[in-house]
Amino acid sequence: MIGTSQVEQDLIEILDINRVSTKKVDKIAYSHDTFPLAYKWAQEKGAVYQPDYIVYPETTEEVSQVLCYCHERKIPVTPYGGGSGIVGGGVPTSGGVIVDLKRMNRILTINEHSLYVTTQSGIIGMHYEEQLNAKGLTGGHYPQSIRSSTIGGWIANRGVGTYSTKYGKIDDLVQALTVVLSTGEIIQTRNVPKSATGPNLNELFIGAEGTLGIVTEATLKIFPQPESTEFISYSFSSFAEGMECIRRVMRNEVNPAVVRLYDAVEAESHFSDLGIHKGECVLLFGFAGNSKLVAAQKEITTGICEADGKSLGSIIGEKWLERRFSTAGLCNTLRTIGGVADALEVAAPWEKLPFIYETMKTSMEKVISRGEVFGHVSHVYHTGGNLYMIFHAFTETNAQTDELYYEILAAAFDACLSHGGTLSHHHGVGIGKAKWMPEELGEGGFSLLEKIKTAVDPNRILNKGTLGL
Amino acid sequence: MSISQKSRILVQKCSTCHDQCLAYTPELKYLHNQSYVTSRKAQLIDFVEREIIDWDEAGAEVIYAALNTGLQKYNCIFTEGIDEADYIREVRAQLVQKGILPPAIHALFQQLQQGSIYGEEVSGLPLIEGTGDIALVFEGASRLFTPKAREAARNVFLALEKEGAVIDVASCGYTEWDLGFVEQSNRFMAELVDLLSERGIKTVVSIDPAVVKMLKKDGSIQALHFSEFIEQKNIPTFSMFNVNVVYHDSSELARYLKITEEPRAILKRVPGVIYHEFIYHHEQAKPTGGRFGYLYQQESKRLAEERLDEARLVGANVIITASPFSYVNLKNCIGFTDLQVMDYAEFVELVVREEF
Repeated sequence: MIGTSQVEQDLIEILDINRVSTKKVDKIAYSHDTFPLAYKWAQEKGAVYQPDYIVYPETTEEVSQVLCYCHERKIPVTPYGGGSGIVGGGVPTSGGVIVDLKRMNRILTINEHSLYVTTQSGIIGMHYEEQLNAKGLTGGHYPQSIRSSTIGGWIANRGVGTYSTKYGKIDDLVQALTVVLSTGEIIQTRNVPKSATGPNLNELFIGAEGTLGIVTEATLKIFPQPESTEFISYSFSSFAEGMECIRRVMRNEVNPAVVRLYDAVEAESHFSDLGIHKGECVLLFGFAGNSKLVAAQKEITTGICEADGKSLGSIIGEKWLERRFSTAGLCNTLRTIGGVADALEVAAPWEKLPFIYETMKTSMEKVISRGEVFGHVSHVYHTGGNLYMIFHAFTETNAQTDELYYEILAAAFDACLSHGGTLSHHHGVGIGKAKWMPEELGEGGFSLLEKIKTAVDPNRILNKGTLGL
Repeated sequence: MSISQKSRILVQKCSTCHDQCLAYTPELKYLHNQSYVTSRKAQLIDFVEREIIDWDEAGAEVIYAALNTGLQKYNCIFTEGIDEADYIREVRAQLVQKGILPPAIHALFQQLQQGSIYGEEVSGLPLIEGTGDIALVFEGASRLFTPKAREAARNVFLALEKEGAVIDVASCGYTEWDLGFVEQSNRFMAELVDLLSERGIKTVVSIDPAVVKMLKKDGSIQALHFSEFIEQKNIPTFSMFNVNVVYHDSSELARYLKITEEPRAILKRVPGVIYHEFIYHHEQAKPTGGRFGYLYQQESKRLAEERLDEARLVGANVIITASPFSYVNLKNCIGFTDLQVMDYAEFVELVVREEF
């Protein structure tokens, strides 16, 4: 590697003096994302993984020049959006250059006729949605992190929004991408609704967590803002009964926007002020769109839910809407000495989901001597669904939390993977789940991913360690 | 030198937060740097408190770039709504004591040592006109940035309060307090309160939310925003005014003083006025930029431009403001002719002039 001051000068030459930083304050700010253990490291030791340089490109061409430079000199590069990733994909574990994309925040075109938008990838989700709303449109993608994440981050981590069952996941919304490869080469995929011209290259970069290239622009599907939104909710005496109800709704051609089933522990913690009793599971459906379709879907769903569930009206939905962005519970545990918390989001087909829930819960509880495990289902399909297993665990010191965290994850993922589930539905893998990747993909699958990585990023500079690469 | 225990708890909470206020951190919208996210500012303070790092000029710059609008407080994940301004101001005061300041703030501090941060423009103050137990008080900002609004407020006030006084002071201490110049802020505030007490003034009216805020903070004299004063007067009739208006809630007035309905009331009563609401209003109103002394005056114009766009979108052609800084921030966005910016006091003068 060449001298650091020379690198700084060269990066300034590519960008300008105001868009390259080696300041201590910036190195600290970019030393982590929202990975739970990163908070513990900060509490214990300060800023553990600091980048050497932070750059702020404004165009695809500038990203290309920076990557080309880093590729030639084998300087590690970590792309950075809002820093909201919860799996550590934004942690610069090898130092090097952080490419902050937040200056690439312009919506380039909104096509109101064909309903798509082309935007730079560094725009904050809420700002993107606000600009669409001003035209009576919506992106349909409202993740819990919408106020702190970027479109590039959604794509990199294959994210989902809370209304995903209707509007689709980010992988369903992406129509075209502009991507800069590690060598600086710029790839643009074609802006068409579908193409049968070999493998879809968009899919190579969606969910690649910045290991195969940096997404700088995206063309996404958009929608008219819904004419009507309605919520209904029901209580069930068991989590399995609730899951069975969702399965039946989903095979009846109903397309709800929101589907959330809380187990008894989580339901009590969220809704005890609304009269939810101990032991009750809560199922929430939200419908959005054309008011006639909303009414019809609500009617069908009500008919199915009433067979085993007790109606709770619309108040659960209204409260959920009000509180949907709050992650205060997780944060409160993380700032406690020795406390660690996370939400593990796995997925499986319907026939496996109830068993995976029980097995994961039991396995995690075995290694958590102080704390609790609870969960909910959200983001569903007619073939299966996503299961969140949330844990809060406590040990004596912050120094012990790494060990505890990985013991819990091992228990959880062993239970999930061995019973046919997947490691992650939409948070991604990052560095936190990287060691389970060979098991997730299988030996052949992981080997293929390694080969793709080597082909696309021969000097392996992009997001080292993420996805286990 | 440590921050208070109360601030320490807030800093710990913010530094271990999922940044859900990021989209509502105004300076991030144009500075685009993670260092300006509330959690990172809190982490910086936490690291200094734990002696992991020391303050330097770059760190001080982040603390002074913070635009204390309260918007992130209303979009905080914690139930109580943490306002970063509560600890940012405390840290600024420490930085002043340590003498670690960004050059622009250091220059202001030197100007302050010579009299006022507003410089020569406010020399010769205080000026006092009339007597009575109620006074209309202006500080340097109104004199400098909204002279027309000052004049309008004076005319309306004296028409409604024959026995009222009009007082101009260099400063009420707000800007100094915000920037961490605590000693000077306390001095300006004490001088103002002494002046008012000596003259037997029981109630102060001001078009500047900062004056109202500081007097409420002191607590010894009743303080009203000009819009509260107007509403208390129950003016029965108004002149016709055919205009499409939208009211901009200033950060201090709406989010801290919680005065939101009084300025709107008259706008909704005047015949001919078609009242519009911004998309983001009341406590969620987007700010128009920084106050005096703020580091990024040029960059923060982007916020004002966005607010102007929002006004156009809702169909207004006049924006009514109720704070000198909202007014000047919007006015300073050169290159627009389709929108008029008017202070609340100017609007009131226009619609009551013929009634007096």
